Amino acid sequence: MKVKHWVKRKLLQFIAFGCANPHVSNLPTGRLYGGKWKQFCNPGLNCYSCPAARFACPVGAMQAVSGSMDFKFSFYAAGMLLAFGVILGRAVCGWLCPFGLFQELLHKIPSPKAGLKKCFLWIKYVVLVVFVLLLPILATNYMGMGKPAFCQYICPAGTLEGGLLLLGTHPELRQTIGPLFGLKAGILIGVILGSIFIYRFFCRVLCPLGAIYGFMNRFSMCHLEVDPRRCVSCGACHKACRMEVDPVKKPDSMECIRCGDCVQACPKDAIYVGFRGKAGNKQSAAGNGRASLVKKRKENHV
Amino acid sequence: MKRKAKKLLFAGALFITMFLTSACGKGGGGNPEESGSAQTGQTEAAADSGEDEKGDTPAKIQQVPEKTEAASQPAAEEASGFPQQMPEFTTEDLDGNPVTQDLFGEKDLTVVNIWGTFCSPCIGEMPELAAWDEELPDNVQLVGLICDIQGDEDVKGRELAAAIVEKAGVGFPQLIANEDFAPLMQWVVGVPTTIFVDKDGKLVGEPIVGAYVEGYRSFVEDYLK
Amino acid sequence: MRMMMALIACGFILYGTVRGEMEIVWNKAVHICLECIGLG
Repeated sequence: MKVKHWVKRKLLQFIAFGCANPHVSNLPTGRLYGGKWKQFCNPGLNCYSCPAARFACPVGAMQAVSGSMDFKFSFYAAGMLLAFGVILGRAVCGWLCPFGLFQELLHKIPSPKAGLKKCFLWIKYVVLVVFVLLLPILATNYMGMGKPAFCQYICPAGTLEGGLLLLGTHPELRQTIGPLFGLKAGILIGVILGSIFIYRFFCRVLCPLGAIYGFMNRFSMCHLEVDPRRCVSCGACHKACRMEVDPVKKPDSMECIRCGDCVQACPKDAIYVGFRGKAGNKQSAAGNGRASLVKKRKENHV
Repeated sequence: MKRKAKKLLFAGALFITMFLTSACGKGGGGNPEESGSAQTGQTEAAADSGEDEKGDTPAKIQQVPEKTEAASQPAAEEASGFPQQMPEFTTEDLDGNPVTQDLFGEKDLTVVNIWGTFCSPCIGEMPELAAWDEELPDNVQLVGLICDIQGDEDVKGRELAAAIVEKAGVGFPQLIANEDFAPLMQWVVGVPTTIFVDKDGKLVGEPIVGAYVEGYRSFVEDYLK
Repeated sequence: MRMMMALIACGFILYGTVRGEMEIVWNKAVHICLECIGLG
């Protein structure tokens, strides 16, 4: 049975979700997993206060270390993010991130769909610098411990996977619901609504992880190439791209999540997304059907 | 692909994935193994340990007429799972003095503030607690219970706790939670959690989760009336 | 360039591990971080 590209990607996304949250038996009790795997960072956004979570959230890890008394910056978390970024770039977003999957599923809900003005794309960099990097160092108490500001004030993944699940299983936590939770719930609702109308709303507007991996797109081993010999500048790829990227103009765009939809859309098989060949080496893998990570299906070529 | 087949594929993929990765995850049940137990005493979620304390029906009946913050009922402890009675324990405080459950007999009401050195809000409320401690009437005492010091070898943890306590100007004793506290600690979801114990070692009122000194104060005031 | 990034990444991870950062991460991750999820 020939498997369509989008099926393969969804399957991998579900598998990644399951790998990030395997401890389902914790869900009814609301207990967290406490084993040694929690010291390792998940590549995508997944709250470590989720009872089912196995790994630590990379953004949470960054804030935990920079918010601690002894350190101002997390080399470990930054190193892990650089490592994931160098290998995969924003393919993490497109293939491995649990919250990315959540947004994609929401987007499938039938509704009028909208695009996003380019200026909003910059907000996530502000979120990264202010809430993830600076506030944990600046907003400290008398012992020098800082607030994990992104987790505390913004992250909808934490509200969804951690907050709501734990409030459900632990009645004594409900007394702590206050204006802060109101803010976070509001953000979560906003993100959910946003994702229904706009593809991957959170990823494009707010996610600091996306901001970091986006920077790494130009260096990453998983890359996108357009073969100039085959490209006829028809614009089909740009039209197909749900992140509103033009792969021909900007193959290493910071918004590209390497989903491969453009590869499927290209009538000339000119786009390659994968690991083979060097980025910038246009003679290499593009157009070489065998090497392509994302195979073109004849059925799509109508 | 037909619609039905698509849905089946999704559902199947999700379930298979969750089960497979559950099975190969570290101990499918995912309860804290090497780790958490020493720290917060969160062991296997046991109705068992809880039941030991619940055993005394006379204790339950006595609870009802007590003035409590939350209007609820007998189900006060079932809602959160907290035991009715503080477990018997022998531990040390941060200064090295041995402490047992006899501590509760010394005063009419003991406020136990459970906290951890990793917990920023706990540390944040410490100075306020220190100030409140000074104002407490003679028949009430405030005691801290540190949940994340891993035994005698954890020098680093003790030093950190001591530094926090000093900087906050804390005068009340700080107990170190060990395995004796497990029946209590397994129900502690997050810190700070503050519980109230009468002179017989029974828990009164509802545990207050989160840094809310105002809440502790008002419970104590109401209780003393 | 890519090699350099990869080396820096490795260096960071090693340095961070040696500093004991992984323990801090683990500590935060296994205790319910109430403030992380917007409670308390």
